[in-house]
Order: sequence, then C-alpha cells, then structure tokens
Amino acid sequence: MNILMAANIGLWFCIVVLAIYTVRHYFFTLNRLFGRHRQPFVDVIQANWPSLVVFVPAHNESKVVRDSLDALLACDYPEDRFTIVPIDDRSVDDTRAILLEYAAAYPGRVKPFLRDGGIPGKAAALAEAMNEHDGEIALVFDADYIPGVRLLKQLVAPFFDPEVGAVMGRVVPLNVGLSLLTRLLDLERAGGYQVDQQARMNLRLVPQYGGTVGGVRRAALAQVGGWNVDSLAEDTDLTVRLVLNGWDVVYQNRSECYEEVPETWESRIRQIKRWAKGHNQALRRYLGALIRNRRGLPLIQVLDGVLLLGVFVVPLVLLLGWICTLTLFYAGSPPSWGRVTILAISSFNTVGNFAAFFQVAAASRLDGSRERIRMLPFLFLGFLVSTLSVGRAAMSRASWLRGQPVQWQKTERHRATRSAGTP
Amino acid sequence: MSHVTGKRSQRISELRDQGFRGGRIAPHRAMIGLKISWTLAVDLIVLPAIFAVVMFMLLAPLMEAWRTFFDFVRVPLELPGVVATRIVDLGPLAVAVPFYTSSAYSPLAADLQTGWICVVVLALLGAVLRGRLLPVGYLMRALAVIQLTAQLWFSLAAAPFPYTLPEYISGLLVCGMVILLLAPFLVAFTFHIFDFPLWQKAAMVTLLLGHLSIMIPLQATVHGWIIYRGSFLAMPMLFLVFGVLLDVFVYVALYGWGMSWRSGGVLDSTDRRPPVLPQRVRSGAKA
Repeated sequence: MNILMAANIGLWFCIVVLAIYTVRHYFFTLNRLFGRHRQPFVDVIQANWPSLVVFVPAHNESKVVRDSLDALLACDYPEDRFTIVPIDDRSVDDTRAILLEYAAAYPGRVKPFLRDGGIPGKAAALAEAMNEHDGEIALVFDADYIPGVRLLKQLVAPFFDPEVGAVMGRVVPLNVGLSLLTRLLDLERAGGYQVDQQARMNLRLVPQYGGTVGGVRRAALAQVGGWNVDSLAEDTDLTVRLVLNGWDVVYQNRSECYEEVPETWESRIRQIKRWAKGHNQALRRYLGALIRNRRGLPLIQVLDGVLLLGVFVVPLVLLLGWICTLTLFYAGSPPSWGRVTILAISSFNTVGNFAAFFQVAAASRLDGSRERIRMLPFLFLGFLVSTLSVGRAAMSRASWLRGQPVQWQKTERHRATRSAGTP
Repeated sequence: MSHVTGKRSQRISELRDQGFRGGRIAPHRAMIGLKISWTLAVDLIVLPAIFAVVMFMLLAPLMEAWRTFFDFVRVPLELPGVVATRIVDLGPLAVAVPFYTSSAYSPLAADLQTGWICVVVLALLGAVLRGRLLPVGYLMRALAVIQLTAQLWFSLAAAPFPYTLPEYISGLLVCGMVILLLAPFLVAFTFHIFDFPLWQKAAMVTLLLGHLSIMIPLQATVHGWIIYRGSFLAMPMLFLVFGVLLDVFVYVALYGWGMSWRSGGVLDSTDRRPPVLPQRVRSGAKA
C-alpha cells in the first residue's frame, strides 16, 4: 500500500468518526431542545431520607475548603442522617488544621479522615475513607465546590429508585468572567452538562458520573468491586463498571453546584492531560467488555458507552485527519472540499465531550447566557491547545499501560489569592 | 391527561406561570425547552429551499459581478494574464465561474530563505508567547509546522509541485459557490431550530450569503496575489488555514452573533440580561 492510499484511507476513517460524533451531538442538541426531560424525584422535599456521608477529598486545599464545608453545613439534609467526611490526603499546607478546627466546632457532623500514607490519589483516598463510614449513600464533592442548600436532597432523591447506582449533578463555573480561558471553559461546561448529559439522561444512554457533585449507592459500589485505586479517572471508571453491571446512572440537570475552573492555560493543560490519560485508561480497560455486552445491555447504550470512552481519542483522530489532508495535498491528490469542510467544522468543538459549536450555542442560550455565545469562534483556540495537550497525554505510558503509578494531580486554586487582592 | 383543552387550557397554563404583580415566573434553565410545531418544517425545509433556489438563480449575475471585480483589481494588483472562465455543470444550469490565469513560480533560493525566516519567527513566537497568550502561541507553532512542511517539500522533493495557480484559484471559487448553495441548509439545521422569529431567520441566511458572496472573491484574490508574489511556497498554508477553515470560522462567528439576538420567545425567559429600558424611561425614573 503506497502512502497516497494510506493517507486516503486514513482520511476517510477520520471523516467517518468525526461524522458519527457530529451527528450524535446534533441529535443530542435536538433532544435537549425538543425532548421530554427526565429529572427523577428532583422535587422531593419530605421523605424518609437514607443515611448519607458526604466525602470531600482534599490535598492542599486550604484556600477553598472552608467555603465548601460551610456550604455543606448549611444544607437542609436531616442532621441526624448526614455526616461530612473531609479527607486530608497528605496536605502540606493548613488543610489539616482547618479540618480539625471544623471537627471541633461541629462534633459528630464533621469527621475528618486523615491520611499520611498508602496509595496516593483521589480514588485510593475515597476507598480508605469509605471503609470507615457506613452511610447508605456516599456523595463526593471536590474541595472547591459550593453546594446550594437543597442540593444534597436533590442528589440523594434519585436513589429512591433501587436500580440507580450513581447520581451526577451539574457543574457550573463560578469564575467565568476572568479571562478568555474561563469564558471558553464556561461554554464547554454548558455544552457538556446542559445539553450532552441531559440528552443522554433523556435517551436512557450513559450519563457520566463525574467524580464530584454526585454520589454512589454503597451497595452498588460494593457489587462492582469498589473504587479502582489505580485509576486515573475514577469517575469514568466507576460509570462504566456500574453500567456494565446493570446499574442506572442518573444526571440531575437542576442540581447545580459551583466550581472554580482553571484560570491559567498551564493549569488547564494539566487538567486536560489528566482527564485524557484517565479516559484512555478506561477505554483500554472496558472497551472489550462493553462490546462483548454479556449483560445484554440495549445496543444504543453500548454504542453510547463506546463513544463516551472514545471521546478523548477523537481530537487525535482530527489531528490525524489534518495530517492526512496535508499528505494528500503534497501528493497532488487533494481531498475534496467537502471532506476538508468536515475537518474544519470539527475544529470548532470542545474537548472532553466533543460538543460541536451549535451544541455549545444551544446550551448557552438555554442558560440565558446570550451574549457569551459571541465567543464561539474562539473555541478554535481552546480546541487547538486542548488537542495538542491530549496528543501529548496519549503519548504517555499512563494512558495505555497497566500498573502506572497514580498520584494527586490537582487543579491550581485561585480563590483565596483573588479575594485577598480584592479591595 | 387533563380534559381541559383549547383556550381554557391555555389560560390555565398562563395562570400557572403568573407571578407577582402580573409578571411571569421564568422556568428554571434546566427545565426550559422548545415545542415542535409545523412551522419547524417550514423553517427547516421550505425556507432554506427558497433561499437555495434564489441563490441558484442569482448565481449567473453573481459570477458576472465576481468577474467585474477580478477585472477591476487585477490591474492595480499587477496580476498578469486574464480573467478566464470555468464552466461548472449544476444540474439544469451551467455556471461560468471566473478565475485568474496568472501563473506562479516554484520558490527560488530567496523565497526559501524568506520562508525559513518565517518558520523561525513563528516558532519563536510560539515558544515565547505564554500566560494569557498561550493559545496564540500554540497557533503560531501550528503555523510554523505547516510552513515547515512546505519548506521541506520545496527543498527536498524531486517531483514537480502538482498544482498550478489558476487550477487552485478556480477550485477555491467553485468550492465557494457550492458553499453558497448549501449555506441556507447549514443555517436551517443550526439556527432555524431555535425560536427566532421568521425575519431573524431570514436575516441570518441573508447576512451569511451576502458576507460569503463578498468574501469569497476577496479571499481568492488575496490567495492569488500572495502565491503569485511569494511563489507556491505559500500555497499549503493558504489551502489549509485560510481556505475552508476560514470560511467555517466566518460562519461560526456570524452564527455566534445571531444566536446572541433576542428572540422574544421561550429561550429569552431565562435571559440573564433584562432588556435595557429606553433612555426616556430611565431618565423619568431617576427624576
């Protein structure tokens, strides 16, 4: 096979993959706009609430953890059925002192779990902390998240359905207007949650448990083998295992929680590389099991699961598509303009969910953020940075090989420094 | 299902959403959505079909306008040759697409040296731009890599460069013409699905078609002039970055602007920015 034929076949492969994802996301957009929304039990206020443990994994989070704990303490979940377990995993800043201070101020309600050894990483920390507490439902919040008063009830309510294994709420950026990056991330998050996750929920596909602003039923977690402590993306890993074992994952679009998105490009690159490695690791682990489908899951769910796992490979496919185009151009056999157009349109997507520009626009419009949609053409810049970062992550051994060491790779926080500098 | 229908049902629905002092209670953004109605079929099929047919009928005068433009700018730009015609069969209509016949040359040593300087400058900018300008730095690096491939091709390849300038320009213009015919459908499937009034939907298509009708011959002229002056060394970059990718960029930018318009429909109900009151009302309130 000569290079011309290889480039041609490669480009067709890329076009088919990109077309599948584009059609998928167009369908999601239509479903979100015109479909009937599933939001199970979200309005339940009075009930016999199950016992709940809220875990807050923290590794050097002294800048933000107070806000998170204060917000959790203000939640309206019955106090006698609700414990907050902040996990300090070998912090070298004041995080531990802050947690102990809260434990003293709220005895019985805040019970810190302190780690000085063991396997590093969020999954390992959660696994150890959960062994010490036995609530029926375990919710997880990252230390920079600010839950609203009713959020815990909204996230626990779907577990009244015994088939539900995990629940995920919506993540909304708190620090949107600071820079081009934070605005682009706001668009990306909107596209991912407001349209992508809700459509998958509506269509009974595979909404993703995202590792924070969500939780898991203890019985379901035990049945699928607990947290995978060597996983780089414990959320994706758990989502797929739950689905493979027949559990439902629920997404609650109304259960919003605020997070701090990365404010520097360097921080964003680290985040996207971490996600890409973890996602690719999950792809390697579960693609075969999904395709074999021994539990007889609906075909559409299997297909969505495969596409979900492949989402961090798609930027590489796009990159390959452009390389093939360049090769064909120099070989004197330029690809048709139609094929180049598909590559061009795919370059205005977001990374992490591959939301196309129209999906992002629909999400922002639904959010009432009309004027932010004018930032849409700049998605290209964000996508360029992310694609190259995903490419670098794909080169790393951790993406594909077994037994790679796991460590804490956390996103840099800015809240305290900003408020200190703000008059 | 309720047995109440018609106007009474509509009234009950209105009362449900009626808030303090007759205001309207906005639904939560997680619950908002649109309803499918027969007008959607009009918006998705009839409207773009009308625009595509009108565009189809206007192609001949548009090509004539492009020809006039090419003739007008060819002399001051010192582009040699003439404005020739390529006949493109589009079903019942054959369209005469005008294009420049100027020829370009393979890069000389001086061109290659200039190209290498460009690569170095782009790579340096890519390395230096950090912080908030990091994405611009990445763009510079990508441009450096593309230009590097051109430098290597013209420095090392034994085969002659497989394109001529007229062939490239006419291909670009034919592609532009096809985009013009398909653009109404692209707008329909991405913009008309929302609850904008008909005039805004028509305005969006008109704006896009108008913009592309002017931009495409300008784009072809700029490409032709740069390649004529700077040799084939510039063609790969122009083809990859400033061809269809630029056209899509323009569409996404216009689309983003259009999507930020107030629709006066359901999707405005979650709007975070209330309409600005007229000046006289504001000054009256202050007084």
